[in-house]
Amino acid sequence: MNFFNFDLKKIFTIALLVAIPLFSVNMQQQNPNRPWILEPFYYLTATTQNSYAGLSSGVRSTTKDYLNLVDTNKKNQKLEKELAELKAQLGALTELKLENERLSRLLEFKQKANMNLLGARIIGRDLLTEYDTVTIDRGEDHGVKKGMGVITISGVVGYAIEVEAKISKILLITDRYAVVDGIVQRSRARGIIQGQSKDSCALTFLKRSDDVQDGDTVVTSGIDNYFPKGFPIGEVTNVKKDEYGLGQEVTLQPIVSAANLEEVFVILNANNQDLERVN
Amino acid sequence: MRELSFKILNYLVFAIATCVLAGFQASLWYHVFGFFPAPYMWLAVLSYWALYRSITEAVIMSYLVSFAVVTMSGAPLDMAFGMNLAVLGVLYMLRDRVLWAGPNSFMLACGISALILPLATFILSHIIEETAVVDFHFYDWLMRPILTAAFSLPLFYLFSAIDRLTNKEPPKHTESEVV
Repeated sequence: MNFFNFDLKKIFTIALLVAIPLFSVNMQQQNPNRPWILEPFYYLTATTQNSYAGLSSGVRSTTKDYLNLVDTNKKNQKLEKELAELKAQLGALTELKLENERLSRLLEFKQKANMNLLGARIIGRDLLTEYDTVTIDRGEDHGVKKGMGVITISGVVGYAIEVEAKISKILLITDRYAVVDGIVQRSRARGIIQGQSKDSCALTFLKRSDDVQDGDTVVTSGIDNYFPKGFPIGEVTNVKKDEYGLGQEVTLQPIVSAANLEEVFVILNANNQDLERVN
Repeated sequence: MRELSFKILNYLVFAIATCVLAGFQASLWYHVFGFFPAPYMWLAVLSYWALYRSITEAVIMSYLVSFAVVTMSGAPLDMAFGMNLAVLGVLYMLRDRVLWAGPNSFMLACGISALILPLATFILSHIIEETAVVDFHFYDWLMRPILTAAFSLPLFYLFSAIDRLTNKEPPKHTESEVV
């Protein structure tokens, strides 16, 4: 064995491997600044790390956004549902408020009036367009009788023509079969109000000399005690006097419109009340 | 005897159906849609009987329908009889000439009857009533036939089912049916 027989290639490799860290340490000790050779590595590392960090952050952010979006969608759906529920509740509350106001007015009217009044709700309308009747949820069991007047706070609605145990059919004053005794409030001219069409009545049996003008209010005469005296029926919209003849044609617009009716009063006893005197 | 019982039952069920349908029109529709024109639901019964029954049976049913109508209307009985018979007459005339079998034809018949009814009422009112109808509601006249025809489709199947249940042969469908 030749002791001095070295494998130079091996020695050089080992020397190089040992020298590099030593050299590095030496260089680091000599120069406190970062050696220039590491710059590209730092740059690459920084770029790579930044890229990874950016990517990671991006993925995290996207995932978070996606998850948020899913969550937001769920929340949105929930909120929309809640909003719909609240809207429905608001609608119901508004309806209740309006009903409450309406009923309060009715109650106030009932308390003020010196009549026996029975509150009723309209539950049905006529099957045919050509006839004007409504059905109310009060009947014989509640004291309603045929012919009894039906009113609202504003004016006359009609009267009962058929009474069952629990319901009654009310003939509106606009029906062609309806007749109510009335007087012109200003001139006290007396006539009969007859239904004509959905939104008009005729004041008939007036004398030619009777004083009736457009805009006059026609009120109940109270003669039959089914209605109080002086309760508004309608307003005169047209007066027509023929050149010859005994009477005159007077058209009224009813104060109460059937389309807005919801709650009404049945007059159980008008107690001969004179509303004109009260007012 | 059994056949007669089924026949009476058939009349009875259709009379009840008329009341239920009229109630739907007078009350339920009113509560949901207010004074918006309602379909003539009860006319579907009359149309059905006009199309798929003998004239005698249809006339008897028209009387039953009239009784149901006057309970929910201000119309006097003579007017109700008159207008229902007028509608029946028109449908009976059209039955073998224009109309065919099945739901399409039934819808058409209901639409036609809803179109005829106000006209018949208007004319009859001038003949029978002392205080005749003075205004003709064109909007109602146009809207109601459409709604009546639309609502009559499910009723056709309901009436056919009633017929089947009461041992009456339900109307046959033809090949021309689309619905």
